[in-house]
Amino acid sequence: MMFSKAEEIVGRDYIINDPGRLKDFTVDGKLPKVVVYPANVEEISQVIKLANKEDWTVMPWGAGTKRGMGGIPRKFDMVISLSRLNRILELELGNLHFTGQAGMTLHEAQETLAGKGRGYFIRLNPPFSKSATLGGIVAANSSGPSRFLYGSTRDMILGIGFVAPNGDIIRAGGRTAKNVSGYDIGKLIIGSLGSLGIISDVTFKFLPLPEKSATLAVILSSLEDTHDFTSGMLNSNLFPASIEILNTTAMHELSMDIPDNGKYVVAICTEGVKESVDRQLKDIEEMGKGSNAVEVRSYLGEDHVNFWKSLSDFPKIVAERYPYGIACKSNFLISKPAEMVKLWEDRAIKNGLSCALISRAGNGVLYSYLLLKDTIKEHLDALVNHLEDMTEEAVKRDGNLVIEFAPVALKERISVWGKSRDDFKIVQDLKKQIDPAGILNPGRFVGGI
Amino acid sequence: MEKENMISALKEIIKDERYVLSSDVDLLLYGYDASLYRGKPDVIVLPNTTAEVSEIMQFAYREKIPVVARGSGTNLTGGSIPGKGGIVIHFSRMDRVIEIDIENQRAIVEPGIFTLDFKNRLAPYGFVYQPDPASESVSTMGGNFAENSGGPLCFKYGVTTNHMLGAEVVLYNGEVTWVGGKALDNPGYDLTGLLVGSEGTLAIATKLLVRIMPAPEARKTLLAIFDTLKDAANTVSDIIEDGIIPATLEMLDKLTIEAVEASVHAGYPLDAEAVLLIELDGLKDGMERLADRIIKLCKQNKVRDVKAAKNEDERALLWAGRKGAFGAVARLETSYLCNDGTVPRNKLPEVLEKVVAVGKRYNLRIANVFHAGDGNLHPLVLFDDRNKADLEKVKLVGSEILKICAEAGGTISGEHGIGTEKIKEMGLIFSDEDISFKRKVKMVFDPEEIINPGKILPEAA
Repeated sequence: MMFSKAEEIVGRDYIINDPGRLKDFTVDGKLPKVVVYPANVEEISQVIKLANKEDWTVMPWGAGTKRGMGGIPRKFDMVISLSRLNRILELELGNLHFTGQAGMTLHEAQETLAGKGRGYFIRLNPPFSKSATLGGIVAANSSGPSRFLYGSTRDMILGIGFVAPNGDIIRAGGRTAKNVSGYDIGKLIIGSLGSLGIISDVTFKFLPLPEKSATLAVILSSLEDTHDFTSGMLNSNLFPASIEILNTTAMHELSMDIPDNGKYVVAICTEGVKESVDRQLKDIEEMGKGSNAVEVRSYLGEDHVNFWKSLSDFPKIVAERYPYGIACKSNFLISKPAEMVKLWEDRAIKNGLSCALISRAGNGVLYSYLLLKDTIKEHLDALVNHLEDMTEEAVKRDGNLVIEFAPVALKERISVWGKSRDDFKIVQDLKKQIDPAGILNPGRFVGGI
Repeated sequence: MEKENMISALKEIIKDERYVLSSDVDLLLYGYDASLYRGKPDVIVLPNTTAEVSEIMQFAYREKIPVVARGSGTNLTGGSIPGKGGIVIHFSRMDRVIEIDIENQRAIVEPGIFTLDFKNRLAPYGFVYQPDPASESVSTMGGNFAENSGGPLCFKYGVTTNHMLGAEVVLYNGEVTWVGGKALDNPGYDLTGLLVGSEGTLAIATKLLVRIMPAPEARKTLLAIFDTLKDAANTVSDIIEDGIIPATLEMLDKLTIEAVEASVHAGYPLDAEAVLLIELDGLKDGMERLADRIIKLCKQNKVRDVKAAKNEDERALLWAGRKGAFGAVARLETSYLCNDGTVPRNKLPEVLEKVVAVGKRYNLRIANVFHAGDGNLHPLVLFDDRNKADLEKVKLVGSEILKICAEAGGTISGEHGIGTEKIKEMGLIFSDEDISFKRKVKMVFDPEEIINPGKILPEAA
């Protein structure tokens, strides 16, 4: 029945329920009953209205790169694929704004912008650089190393179009750089993981490509030196685009060739006006040497581009190499990255776990990857123990810990969104008011809402 | 509730009679803001702590009394007027800096502190809080939070919301909670992002957590003088398309220049049709080359002259003209309406022409001083507020300008909010469905509609 009713809206060619094909849409071991491919926002609206009436749950789907995020779906009826909404709606060089439909990949948007006029770019470099879609990136509040300079999605989105759980087609924000016209609904939608609406299009600010960008890899032998170096940089008036700390395991996964006494690398990307990039490269190299760097390397041109691409795509590398791999993200005070790296390493060793660590040092974020290849069963207790421990440590530093992907066996035993926060009741009330029937992505967002 | 009982109940909470005001003069003074709208509260209360604010809200919720939180009342759209009477909570006593955490680049302040006072407290550390509304010497951080204030530096650094990371808020029923925090990306909905710019209609902030950053190493300030408004507007578009990101790109037109020169003597030439105030900031390296590129673009658009500030005094003088512009224009006529329509930057030249035409058609003088880099217009429509017909006329002019902005793909407020003034214009940019979605948000935060009621959203049909 679900099939035939939805088929009336999207047409025979744009709906599937064949189990063989549904397998591509597995989430935490569960399969949807149908997948629909609406052609436009009106069709999404009609499908949602129907779902609301029939009490079917709906999961929006871009490229499926965030399928591991969130709790295990409570009920999983229908996937709405955004793959047919893949067009550019507006591109205005004179206003620096770009509107793309939700199913378009960021990669395609960037290619288009790079080819216009003097060359432009959206200031985001999130993981899954080839496949991640605009809608998925916004829904998951996904970002990459360059957020230190440019901010995250919340800082660069001017407007969002979405379909509310009652089927209403809603426009939040617009295309102007400043906008205080009614509540900033876009902020609610960013990072809401499809729990409040299905994003149909996104308007981004963009910028001209920098005159120059370059990378320094500062290799250090201790975390004390790493801390001195990064905090010195943070408190100077230099403004690099990215500051990332990698541990030895992460460097190994990236096939970086490092000297024996090199234990950590701080990778810095600096970009912008040529003279200021040159000056920063010089100053940062000196600061590195002042912090007892074992070696300072510089990457230019293609080496530079490839380095950041593989660093951004690290979660993809882990997912491909480690069938039982786990990705976590902790947030905390920006003065604590080296301290957090140390805690992770020490406790992981104690618990017999191997972890690759990449800290977005300037933003107070640490991505930790537990590299499990063959099995998770025998590690489960240690993992739960370790992750609860690490959540507490992040909370002590004003943050939290979120699991970005993990095998179901672990998800069943742990809160993937970390410790409940002060404002959770408001989060719950918003969900209840906006999606009273609970049809959008139930079970996956914070607190299982 | 009887007014007398309300007053005595609040005196119970505050314990100090001096901070509960209800004289006729007080009711008049707290009934207005910088807009054309007026209201009248029943009582004004000046709490000293979050706990007191919480008790006030518990009381208001129990008795269903409207509450309006107020900073300095510089709001330009009637957002801070008590349109439905009730209690005005004035935050002037809660003006403390709670914490300056240099190591983590965060600060926590109370809402009543003047924005500039806070910045002056940061300066000795070599740190800045970037948002810089022109009214910052008197506007409060709480007001900036409520309005998502902008300012000349937004072009490069974004608006208030890009620098607000959390807040302690008192909810409709008096409950106190924190949203956001010192760390980024806390799990859950971005409630801080939602509350910033909600014009004090969802919750009452009692502490604000902001991002602070090291001050830029160098600045370069230019004043470009033009013989036509259009040349100035085209220069703005050219600078943006050329890929230069100045911190500031501000425009003042002839009438504004005249007013500024009569009051602050900033050295703007009286016979110019428009000036652009342009400032670059960041590392000193490469700055001169960028400045040269800007000057070249100005020349391509027939600039008459470009002056560069040679020292901090000259810079301060150029800025005094911009910062003092609203005050200066206020001397030209008994009153003005400050419009805040915002358009895509490339639409500026055509929209400006239309705005000028509207003024001519209604025979009202319009001074333009605005954030050109952001497409944020501020036509100041001059009128005599003793003349009833003019007051009606000016409202029509305001509404027409907003319509022009909406039709150009823009919006009806860049930084001043909707408040009381633009409720009926919400329909220019939002559908009934959009508005009903916003109303659901309001219902979550304020089910009894007691927090700054009657603002932003049109009444439900």
